Amino acid sequence: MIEFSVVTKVFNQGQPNECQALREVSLTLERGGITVFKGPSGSGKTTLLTLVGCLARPTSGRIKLDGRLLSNLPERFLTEVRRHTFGFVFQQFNLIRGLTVLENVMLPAYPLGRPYRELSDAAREWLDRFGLGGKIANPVEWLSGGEAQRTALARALINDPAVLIADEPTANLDSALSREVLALLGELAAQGRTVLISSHDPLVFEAIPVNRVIELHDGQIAGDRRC
Amino acid sequence: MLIMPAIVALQLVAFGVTGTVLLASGFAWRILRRWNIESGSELQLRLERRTYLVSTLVGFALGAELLSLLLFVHTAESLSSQFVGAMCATGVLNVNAFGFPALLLKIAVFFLAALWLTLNRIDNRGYDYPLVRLKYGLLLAIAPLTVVELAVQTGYFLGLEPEVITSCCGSLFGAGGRGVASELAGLSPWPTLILFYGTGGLIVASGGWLLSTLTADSSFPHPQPLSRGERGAEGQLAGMLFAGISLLGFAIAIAAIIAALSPYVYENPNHHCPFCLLKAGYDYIGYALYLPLFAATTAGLGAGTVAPFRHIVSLQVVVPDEVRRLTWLALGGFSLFYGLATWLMVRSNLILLG
Repeated sequence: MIEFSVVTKVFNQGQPNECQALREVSLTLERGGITVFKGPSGSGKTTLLTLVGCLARPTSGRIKLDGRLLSNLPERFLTEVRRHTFGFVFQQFNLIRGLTVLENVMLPAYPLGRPYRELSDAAREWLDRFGLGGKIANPVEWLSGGEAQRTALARALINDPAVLIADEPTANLDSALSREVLALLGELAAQGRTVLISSHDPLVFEAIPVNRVIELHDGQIAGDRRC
Repeated sequence: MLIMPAIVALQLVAFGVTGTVLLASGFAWRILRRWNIESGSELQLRLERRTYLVSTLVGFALGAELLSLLLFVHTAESLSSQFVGAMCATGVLNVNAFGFPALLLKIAVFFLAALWLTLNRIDNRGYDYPLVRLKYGLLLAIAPLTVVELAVQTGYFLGLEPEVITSCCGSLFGAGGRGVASELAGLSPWPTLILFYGTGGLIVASGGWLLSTLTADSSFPHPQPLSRGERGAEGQLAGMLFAGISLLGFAIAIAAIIAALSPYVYENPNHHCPFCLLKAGYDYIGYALYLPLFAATTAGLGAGTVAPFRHIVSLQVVVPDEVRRLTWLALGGFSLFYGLATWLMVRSNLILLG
């Protein structure tokens, strides 16, 4: 369970370009299912997900994961939590150019020191499952948008995270590829993972069984609907 | 004042350390007054983020402070050829009234800095900043000492006039003189060595006890099971005892070096100087003696100081590991020191105890 308690996030605080991305947000996200954060650009969706995923710290307020304070953890502990609990899928895929598909998928697991063979087998298994078994040796530059996003999904899952965070996962994909990626996310949720998606793509709500929709506006929660 | 690279380096370190510690003191004061881990306020989060930067900077500064003690002693020793009457570091430290106070202050700050670094290391390994108030409280205690050390050291170096005729170690560490050094030099070797080896035995016994409390914590079934509270109290007592005996061991070791060990090394019953041991003529044996002694005392002090914190939930795994490591380090350092000291006495041609 992830709990936000009066969380505020301000960028460039005290500067002329100060931006209050989140304003005193309080919410509780249960384990399992799919939660979609929707809202217009600049509403704070991505900021909220980066705070959930320990990629940033709040300016004020507290975030708890399973009752344990997350937002005040020293960096080394935060890194551990990030590595073991969260998997990330980004809008721009963020694959490392010059590396093969397999290497990209294995990359987040290197710091954990798993045996190479075991790691390689796990990466191949995910890639096979996502229909990329024949492309493991290809450089990622050769992949189509859908393939790149599926590779990114495999990479997010290599450390077997309990929570999968997908920030606008379909923004760079056409409808067919979007459905493909969303179907995979739906499968992962069905297997018990918590899937958090930020999106304003209506296709997300049609393609997969969403459990909860949280609407953000100007950094505040404007709506919270359970489906 | 003599201008030489080592003196410039020592002054730069002293200014750097004092500046860093003073700047960090403001932050430390805010930590002591405003820190509240339960709060999600903007101030609390800012303090949490800033503590990394401040403790890292202070860590580097205090690390430099540890090294500066070695450089200070080495510099004093190397300057002995520059002053008429000086045969070793003793004469150089005696050139003006600030020399020995500067050395004693540096030793005091050395131990406090090492203690701070140990606390910082432990605190950084707890997920909820468990020792943050303690370590910044200690920093506030160290701050005035670094200022005084800077002032005294600066006074000392500014007063290093080459035309000053100083006195050699024979007059300061002579058994017939006055003052603490002469008192120590005048100690009878027999009781001093009995005390020296007796303290060594106490160090081993208290270290062993401290290690056994750690084993009792982690082993099950315990031959005579103690309650959690009893085990904690036993560990705390063992820790404090080991820290105290390590410090006592350090003081007695210095006394034994002056009263008994030095004459054996120099093979001269009237030569008690603890600084001539650092000279090339005696194979720099002083460095081999003092380095393990200081390291062991620091480790013993650290082990004893952090041992009581094992009841803190976030440190329940970290503290026993760290105490075990530091205790073994202390026991190893003291063993090296005692072993070398014994070997120096055994191989000597001097017969002091007859």
